Amino acid sequence: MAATDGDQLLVKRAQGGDRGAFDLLVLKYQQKIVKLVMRFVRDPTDALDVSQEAFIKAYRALPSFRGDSAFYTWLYRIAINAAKNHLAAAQRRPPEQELDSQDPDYYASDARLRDEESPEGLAIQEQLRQTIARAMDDLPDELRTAIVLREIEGLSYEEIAQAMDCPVGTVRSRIFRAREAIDASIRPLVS
Amino acid sequence: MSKVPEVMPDIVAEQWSAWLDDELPAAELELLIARLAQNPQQRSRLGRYGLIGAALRSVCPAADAQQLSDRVRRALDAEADSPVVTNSLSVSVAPDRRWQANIVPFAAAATVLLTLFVMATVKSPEPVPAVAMRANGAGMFMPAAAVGAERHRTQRFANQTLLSRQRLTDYLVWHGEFTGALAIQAADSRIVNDRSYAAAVRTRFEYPAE
Repeated sequence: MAATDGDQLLVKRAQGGDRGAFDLLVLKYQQKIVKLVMRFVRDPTDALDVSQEAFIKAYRALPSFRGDSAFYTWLYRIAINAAKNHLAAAQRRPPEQELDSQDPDYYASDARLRDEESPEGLAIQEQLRQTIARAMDDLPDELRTAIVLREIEGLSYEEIAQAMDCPVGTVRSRIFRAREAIDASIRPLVS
Repeated sequence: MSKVPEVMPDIVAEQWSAWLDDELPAAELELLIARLAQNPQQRSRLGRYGLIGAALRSVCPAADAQQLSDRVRRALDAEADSPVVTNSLSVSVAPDRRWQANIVPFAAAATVLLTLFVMATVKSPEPVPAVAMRANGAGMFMPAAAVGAERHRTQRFANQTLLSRQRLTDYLVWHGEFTGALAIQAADSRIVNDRSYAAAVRTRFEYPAE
């Protein structure tokens, strides 16, 4: 199922007043939106506030969303405007690097992004990264291959199934089990 | 007894995992949305799945972003409880331009002042008497001022036509004389006029051929 199909279904339900559907959209895109906002608003606390504002604005504006563009593209624009408004209110200049407002995936795929967070935040990130790396090393080969092909290479389940010569259902199960194993290792850190 | 696997298979969690990858069929998604409301723990699990993905893609994982969905949900709950806020559903996606609202009264005042200034300075055209109607040459009734203007325009065109004719005649005359002075056979000239012919004849008489 394409992203737009699943998102459209959730958007329609949210437009009909289903808050749970919108909650799912927030869960799905919160990481991307926070990272995007942090390109403008360096302070993590402010970035969370601005991201929250963006999601709330999106919820209020949902009745006017006609689905001409993908939901994330629309949400991306709202988040950028919220971040710019925040900067204008704080009378600060935006970062020198110009944002490409036409390309929502630019930030999601850009490995050069580095945050100027507090030392504590950086330490937590590093710890998280090391924990995930150790958990990946401990995974059985078929699980590690499946999640690497999905998360890093960005292949679809169908493509992974062809690459690993197994049914799509098996791919789905392997990716889930890999996530569960990694989740078990990071849960103490995150919670 | 066989060894219990470390990771217990969980059909619902697996569906969530597939949904995050946009690989869940729509039919399953319907059921999943209903289940999410019944099991809030799934929400935090979904957030951690997203965190894992961000870390694996070498994008700095924002651990704090986990709180975001809870915060948004609480804020929307609070808004739903507040009737005043609930009514304001028309939110612009464009950047905040509230400052523009402040300049509207000033712009309106400036427009009025400018209009008054223009009205006071620009001389209004003299009114044409409504009864002063005359017939022009084509038998059409026109205001007297318009008939006068048309007559003036016709006279101007007539003068210009006369002037053009005079200039053309002068050109032909002088061109013909010049040609005649150079060439004895004035008849060959494409410009035919009396003066050039006379000049040619005079030249022949004054300087007869031997």
